[in-house]
Amino acid sequence: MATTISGTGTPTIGSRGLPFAFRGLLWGAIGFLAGALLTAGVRVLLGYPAFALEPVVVIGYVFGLSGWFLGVGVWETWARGWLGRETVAYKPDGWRRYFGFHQDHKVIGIQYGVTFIALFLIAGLLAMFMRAELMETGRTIFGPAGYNRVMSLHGLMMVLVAVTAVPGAFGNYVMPLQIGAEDMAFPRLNALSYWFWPPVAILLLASQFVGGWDTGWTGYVPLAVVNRPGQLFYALAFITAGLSSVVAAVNFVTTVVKMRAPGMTWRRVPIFTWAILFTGILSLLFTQAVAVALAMTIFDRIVGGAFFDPVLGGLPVLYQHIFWFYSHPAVYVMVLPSLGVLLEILPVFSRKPLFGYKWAVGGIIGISALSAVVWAHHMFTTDIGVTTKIGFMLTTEAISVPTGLVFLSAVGTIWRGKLWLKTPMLFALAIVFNFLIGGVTGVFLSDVPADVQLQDTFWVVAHFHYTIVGAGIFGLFAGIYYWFPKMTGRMLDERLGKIHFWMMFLGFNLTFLPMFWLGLNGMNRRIADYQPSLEGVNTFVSLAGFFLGASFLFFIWNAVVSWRRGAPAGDNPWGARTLEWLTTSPPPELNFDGEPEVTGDPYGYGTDGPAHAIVRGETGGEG
Amino acid sequence: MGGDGRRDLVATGVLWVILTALGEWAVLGTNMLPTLASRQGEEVDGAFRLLMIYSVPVMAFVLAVLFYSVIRWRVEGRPEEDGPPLADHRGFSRTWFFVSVGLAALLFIHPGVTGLLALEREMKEEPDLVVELTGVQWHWDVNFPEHGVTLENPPELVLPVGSTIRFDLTSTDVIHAFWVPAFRLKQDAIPGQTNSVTITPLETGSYEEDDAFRLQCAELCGTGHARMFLPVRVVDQAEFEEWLAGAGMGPMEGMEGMDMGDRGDGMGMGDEGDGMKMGDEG
Repeated sequence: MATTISGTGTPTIGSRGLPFAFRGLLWGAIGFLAGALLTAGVRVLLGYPAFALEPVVVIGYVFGLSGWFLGVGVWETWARGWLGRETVAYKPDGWRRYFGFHQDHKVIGIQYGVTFIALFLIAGLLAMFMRAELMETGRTIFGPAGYNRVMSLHGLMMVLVAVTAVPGAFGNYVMPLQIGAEDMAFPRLNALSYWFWPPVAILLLASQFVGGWDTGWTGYVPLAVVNRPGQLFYALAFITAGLSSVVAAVNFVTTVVKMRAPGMTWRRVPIFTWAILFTGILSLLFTQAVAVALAMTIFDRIVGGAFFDPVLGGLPVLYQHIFWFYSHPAVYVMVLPSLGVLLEILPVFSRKPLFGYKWAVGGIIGISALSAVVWAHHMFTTDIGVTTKIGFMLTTEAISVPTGLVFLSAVGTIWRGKLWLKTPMLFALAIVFNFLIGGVTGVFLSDVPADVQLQDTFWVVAHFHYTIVGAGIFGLFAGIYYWFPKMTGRMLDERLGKIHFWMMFLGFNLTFLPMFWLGLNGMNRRIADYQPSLEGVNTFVSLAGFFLGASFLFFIWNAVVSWRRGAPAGDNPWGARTLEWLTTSPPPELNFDGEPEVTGDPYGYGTDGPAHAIVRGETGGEG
Repeated sequence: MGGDGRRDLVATGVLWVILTALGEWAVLGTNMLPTLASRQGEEVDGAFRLLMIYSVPVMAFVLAVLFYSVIRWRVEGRPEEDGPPLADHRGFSRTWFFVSVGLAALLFIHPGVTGLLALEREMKEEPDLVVELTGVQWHWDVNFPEHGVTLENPPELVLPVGSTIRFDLTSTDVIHAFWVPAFRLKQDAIPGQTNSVTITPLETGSYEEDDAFRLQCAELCGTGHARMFLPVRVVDQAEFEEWLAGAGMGPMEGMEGMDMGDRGDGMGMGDEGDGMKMGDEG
């Protein structure tokens, strides 16, 4: 490999020739073939037919994943060190930095942000197809088999987007800046966590060539054991995504705990960083469970594992317990970072301290703790016993208390503030509105007597879209409008931003509010067709959904144009106090031109107290 | 600052009362629920209505603060000065916390635990009739064990009004779920185990008149899930026995014409039913 000298004068690789991401694909393909041939060889030795799709794919994938990582840059930047040889840095200039194993958290943050916006738009397009099918009763565009496939792909992709986008983009880009660190604690693990994602995307794409899968994102057994081979790709993709989450979570937690600038006591940690810390803790503690459930499914599929086969003593409901043991905490992984974004933005655009900082942190901790013990509320209809139902109803209703503390902080912060209604603030206020509806309708589902009617209906669909889109995805866009100037050095266009906001806000509410009614009136979820009496409302929902979908065209246009030609942002366009605004936009390689030191409250607007932080020995930029 | 703040508090309080009144008027004045035709469902609807009544003032409070603040304190252009340094208010925050704990506890006890226990009591009631339902991809098989009548994929399920009926649910393949919207209760049909749900139909009715009278599979079970429903007809005891006697003669055999794919509208489930088919573009 050519070792060249980049602008910074350090030896680097990847500055010319085939971009490393493509070399990774090549090495991955070679690895896959090696694994596949090995599997075929072992099968022949054991007396089986050489080819069987699912075992070949599983073993081939394990080898292919290794080849992919080595090819994308792990070999030169990391693995050669294991053999006692010199490693080199991957730091090419320009666009090439995004196509290899770059270890700068700012590069990785942008990789995550762009990748997940793209995945969000693709999964959103799938939702448009779903709504087209549901425009009318009967077959509209692809009928039940096609619908189930598209619905399943939409579900899994959106879950992965919701789990990853905000911590991936802003946890990586902003959090180290907010705590005054030079980078994440483990830059190589950070790059590793990002480069798990292209294999996930390839698996999801490949799954569609073997018929896709039709279990939704939840992959309930026995259906997930007896259906098409696409289900296997679903399981491998989900496990791979989980590995990325765990690797990223180790990094987030370590970074927040160990890398804070001098003076940043726990009382001075910005609220977004708190949210990222607890998101990391949740991912670290629970993600393994979903990998267990999916690995058991794979065993059942390819070697007759019978974990879930009742005929052989297995238990189908066991899957649901293990799955939701991760997947309920996961919904807080989807929402907590965005609540962090919300509470980060409100003080800046209200020009007031964050109201009830301690209560808000307590809310984040309380939500995280309780999220571990609420999973069986997804299973009130599986016959889990009355005592269990009472217990899980108690924990689930209790989680409304720490969630309420986030609202306390939000409404207390805007009260008597100087409300500056820029686009990030509009998105933040919309989160309060949407998440209120999402939260209150969740209480109905926690109540067993109401849940036995509402479960598995469109009430649930509406409820979780109000929480995960209404808070999670609105938080993603709030964060983009807020931090885009820091990440690119340029402002997004305010007029286009407001058009995007109002279309998205109205489209979202007009799409999902009527779904509560649909659920109450007998529309169960995950169906390609429904009763004729529900057609009028469904047609309305579809049209509103298309309007919602169109809002993102304004965002794409705005982002693309502003990235190249937007007004220069300056260091601190919003007049915020936290550390990410005390450096240039975008920040230099090691984030600050001096040594950050934290001297006060991050949200002391209107007080005479000291600044949140100063950067000592600075050579340039504003103070 | 103090006097000004008091006026804002009063105005927000008035807005809260108005929003609450409007909300409760809407909740109490409209029926959002489909036809109710079972005794057990009264518990469900009672819980739902009570939760609606409770949630109105909670939502109205947050919305009142949100709307009032945005209208009252919105600033044109970049704010030139900061707002008041109101970092916390011990009394307000503590009140908020304890009120939310109290509300959660209240809802947990009633309608939560009370409703759940009432439903559990109903489930244990001695049935007048037992119906065994087996979910099969993608239809329901019905068995009346006390009458020795077994119906494979029948065109409808006829039930007697006023009788307490225990449905014993299981599945031969994947997880399905029992749900008749007019009866309210939902229960999974899981392979390898039998779950029961007890229902007393109180109203006669049929799918032809009201689609809440249908046994809808409510757990995603594959291609035919959407249309895996069995029309339900609730009739008086005499008519039920007549139907059962007729059904017991076995005229249901060979009624492939009523299979899911055909009851549908050309959605083509028959062709796409093969779960293991590869490369099928659906």
